[in-house]
Amino acid sequence: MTKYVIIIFLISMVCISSCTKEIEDNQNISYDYTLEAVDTISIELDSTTSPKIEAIRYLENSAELALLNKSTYQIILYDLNSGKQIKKITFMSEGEDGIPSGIKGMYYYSEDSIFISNGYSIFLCNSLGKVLHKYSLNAENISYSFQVFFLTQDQPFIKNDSLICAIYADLPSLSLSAFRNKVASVFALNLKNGKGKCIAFYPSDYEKGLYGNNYTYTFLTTNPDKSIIYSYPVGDYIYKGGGEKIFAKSKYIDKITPANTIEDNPMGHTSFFVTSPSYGPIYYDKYQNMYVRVAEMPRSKEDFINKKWWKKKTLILLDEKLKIIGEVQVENDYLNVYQCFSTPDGFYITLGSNKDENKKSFIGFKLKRIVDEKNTHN
Amino acid sequence: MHLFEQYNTNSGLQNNHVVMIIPIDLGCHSCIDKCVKLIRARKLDYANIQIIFSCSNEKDMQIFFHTKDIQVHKYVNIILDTKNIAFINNLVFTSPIIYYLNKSTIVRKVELTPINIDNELNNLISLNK
Repeated sequence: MTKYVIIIFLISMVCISSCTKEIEDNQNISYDYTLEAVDTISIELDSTTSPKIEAIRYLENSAELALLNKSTYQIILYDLNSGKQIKKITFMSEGEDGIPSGIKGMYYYSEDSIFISNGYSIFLCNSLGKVLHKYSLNAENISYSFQVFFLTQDQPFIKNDSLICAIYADLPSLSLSAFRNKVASVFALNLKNGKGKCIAFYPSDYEKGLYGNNYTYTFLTTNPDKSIIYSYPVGDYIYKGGGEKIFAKSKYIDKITPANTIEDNPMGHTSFFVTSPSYGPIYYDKYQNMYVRVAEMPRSKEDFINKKWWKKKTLILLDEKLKIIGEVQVENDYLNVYQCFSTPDGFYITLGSNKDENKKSFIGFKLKRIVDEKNTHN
Repeated sequence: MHLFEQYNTNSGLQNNHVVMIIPIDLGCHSCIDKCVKLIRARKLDYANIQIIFSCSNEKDMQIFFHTKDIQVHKYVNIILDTKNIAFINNLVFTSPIIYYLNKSTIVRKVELTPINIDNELNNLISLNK
């Protein structure tokens, strides 16, 4: 009998502690803020630049926008006021300054420090397109190969002498045993000696079941303290530094349930992703001192069959302490929340579809306190 | 194969023995490049082989051909699908794909992957030898 009492007590304690945790997690969240569209800027695309943007960066010092044109091996700099091109930086695919196998993405740190990725290597280049150094991607604490992409949503940054970036491990996403053995997600490359080390790994959520290729991403950002802040498509938390967990769950997502099986082909992985909720990139807007985390709502199976794959999005707004202060539904399906940047004038989201394929527009948003509006009405 | 009527072409597509669909914006780049190399070398210039390039906008299609140095107007067996009709109708997703037809009926469908692409392209070339 005593044994049963102890078991019941233990079960009760587990329930109480988990409920308490849940209450702790959800309490004190007041959704007082929203985003208000305040501005639209547009840039002119030349005949060789695709309207599909994959890597775009705001350059704070010059107030310019840097856009990668993968097909021409160029970074194009735009004046944000006029929307006109002001400079092109051309890289080579062959020879001494060659970046072989195609450019995957770029991180424009400064005129003399432009990082270009071709997947398995990072090339440090200058604004003349010259390769100053090539870094092969190896980490002393893992045995498998991995890639970096430097797309817009991959937000690498420099901390001390190291380049911190999200990585994509060459491991099968449907192997639970791989995740039990820890799969690396964030990499620190020492730019002085070229040595690398993985500094973050996928959380235990990934050991619970199958999620597939579309869930094996890491979204990285940083803040003025140079903290390493990252999140994953699965999970209610944002991670900071060495693994501090911060609750950042969408109020529209109950939970993300893994599959028992996923058909191991692109359609199988896509089907599970489209019909399940997920989280997208996390951004830090230094000018408004806020974080924005993307949440993605599932489509129905019928929608999937009818090729309606675009998942409705919300933007979870967090203050400088990573406390949720609002959640905004993205009403315009053409806003591409994977292509965002911040300037002193707002948090800009790329308009995914323009009728004019030679123009790209970005909608700027400012944080707005909802209660102010209520008080005004009173 | 009623679908191919949507391409509004006079090429007599339904009489072709082989239709190759290449998704240029989603597809595996190395597989696409191998297909393009054969097309540029004029090794697929046969009336019984129809090639469809598929993507979601006209500008990306133009940039693709400019980058790959293909002058489309010189080829009689290329169709440009800039409205992703092939994708919308489940004929192609992330890999180039070859459909072998017999009297407008698909008798064989092969998705090209880095593993099978060399053999499959050789098979395609050998059809007209």
